[in-house]
Amino acid sequence: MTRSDPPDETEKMRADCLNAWFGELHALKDITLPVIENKVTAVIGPSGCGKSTFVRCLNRMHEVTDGARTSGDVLLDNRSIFRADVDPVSVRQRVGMIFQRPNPFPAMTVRENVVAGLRLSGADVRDVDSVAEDALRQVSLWVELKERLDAPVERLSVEQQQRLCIARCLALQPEVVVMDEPCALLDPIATSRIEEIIHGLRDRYTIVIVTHSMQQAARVSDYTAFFYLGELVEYDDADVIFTKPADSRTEDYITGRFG
Amino acid sequence: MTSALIRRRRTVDAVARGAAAACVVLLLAPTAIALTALVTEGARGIVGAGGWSVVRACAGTLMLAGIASAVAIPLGVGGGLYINEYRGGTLARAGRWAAGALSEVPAVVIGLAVHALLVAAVGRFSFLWGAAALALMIAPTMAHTTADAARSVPESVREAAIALGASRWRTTLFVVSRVVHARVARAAWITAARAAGATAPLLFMTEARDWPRQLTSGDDALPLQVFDAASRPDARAGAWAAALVLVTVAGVMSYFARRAATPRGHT
Repeated sequence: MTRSDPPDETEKMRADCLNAWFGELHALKDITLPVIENKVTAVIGPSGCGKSTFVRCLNRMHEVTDGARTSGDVLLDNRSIFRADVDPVSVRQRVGMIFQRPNPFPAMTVRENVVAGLRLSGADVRDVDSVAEDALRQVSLWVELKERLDAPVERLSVEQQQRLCIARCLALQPEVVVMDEPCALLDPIATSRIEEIIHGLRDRYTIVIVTHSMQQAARVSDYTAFFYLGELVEYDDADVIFTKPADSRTEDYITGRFG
Repeated sequence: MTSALIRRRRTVDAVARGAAAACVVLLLAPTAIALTALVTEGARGIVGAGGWSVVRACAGTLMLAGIASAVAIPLGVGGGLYINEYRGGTLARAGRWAAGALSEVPAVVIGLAVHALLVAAVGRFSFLWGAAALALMIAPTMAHTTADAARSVPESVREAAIALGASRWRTTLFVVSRVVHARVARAAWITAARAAGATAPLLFMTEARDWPRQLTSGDDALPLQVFDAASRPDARAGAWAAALVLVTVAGVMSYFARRAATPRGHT
């Protein structure tokens, strides 16, 4: 890591000497990386470099996989999320997650999907309609779907389903949103819509996005981290990473010499 | 393409289609014959002397199947969800084995077991023992079906729920069960219909009809009436009548099964 953070920026999260394994496979090696509040941090790198594993550690989704374990720490507001007295459920409510493949709940309507997170967490949702409207407005779906709130979710396009998944996550009012290649299955127009949404959300949420697309990372991120073979090679302002990277491996990757 | 080749293809197509259609006719013919006989003879039986006893047996069947379903379906569905969602555990493995083994046991053996365990042990017959035998048929089948349905739910759906902060049991109860709901509801109707028509597990309970009525006036069952009446030449009309009502009950339950399998908002 090459960057020292300016004093006016607040760290929302920090990975501290974080290691992760799947059985014998050492997927993440001593990652130390800040996540700055109300900024977009992009994680880039070739396939298998540990990007997704890293973001799954940020909300303790990594440990859901059989045989997965971690060492080191992840801090959320300077408190470890791995402490024995911390309920992973509460971590996941504060650090929401969007997956590569849209995963709305089948057999539920649009409205039910948007408020599903609240219901699943046992919250008393009194005004379902206003919660659904607010969340759908944040992802620019309200106008498109306000007449179809009771429609089966399977009838939406893939892009609408992904935006719906983002709305479902936002309905829980998380503090951090991690996105694991949210545009991987979308066409360029749909991708640009998701990127607009990310731009719109940065004032309210801290965002970490994993992406294969360096152009996307350059467009949406304030900070960029380059991972390679499970190690953090370089982390800096996105402008610096994409114009004057310090490490030759970063330069080789962003100029397309490998990856 | 030559015209000879086209002619050959058309001939092969016509033969294949004809063979397939013949298979369908062969399948439908016995059903049509049986149904025609059932409707004509059954209607005659209902109008005749068998009418009242059929109504009584119908009520008995609905009571038996109703009590058995009310107990066994929730048990089977809950067990099936546990078997799949907590499949790493010893209890879940044992449950899967038991559900598989029990659903393979012939119905007559279940009747015998209930007779040996309950009737012989308690020393008297009860309408409830018949329901217990049917419940033993329904529960493992429902557990098996529910576990299979839950296994078909993509992991990404569970992962989405967990990432939203849902606990494991809430994910099972509010997401997985919701996804499998239509399939399980359909299986429940079909299993209950099969149980309503099952004769074998009730054969050992026939003496129950000689005992004082303990639960309801419907202390007979349609399958038993078909079985009894069919073996007596003077009571054949009653057998036809009971069979017609039984098939009608099964048909109505199959209709509900099909309705249950249609997801909301889809037509």
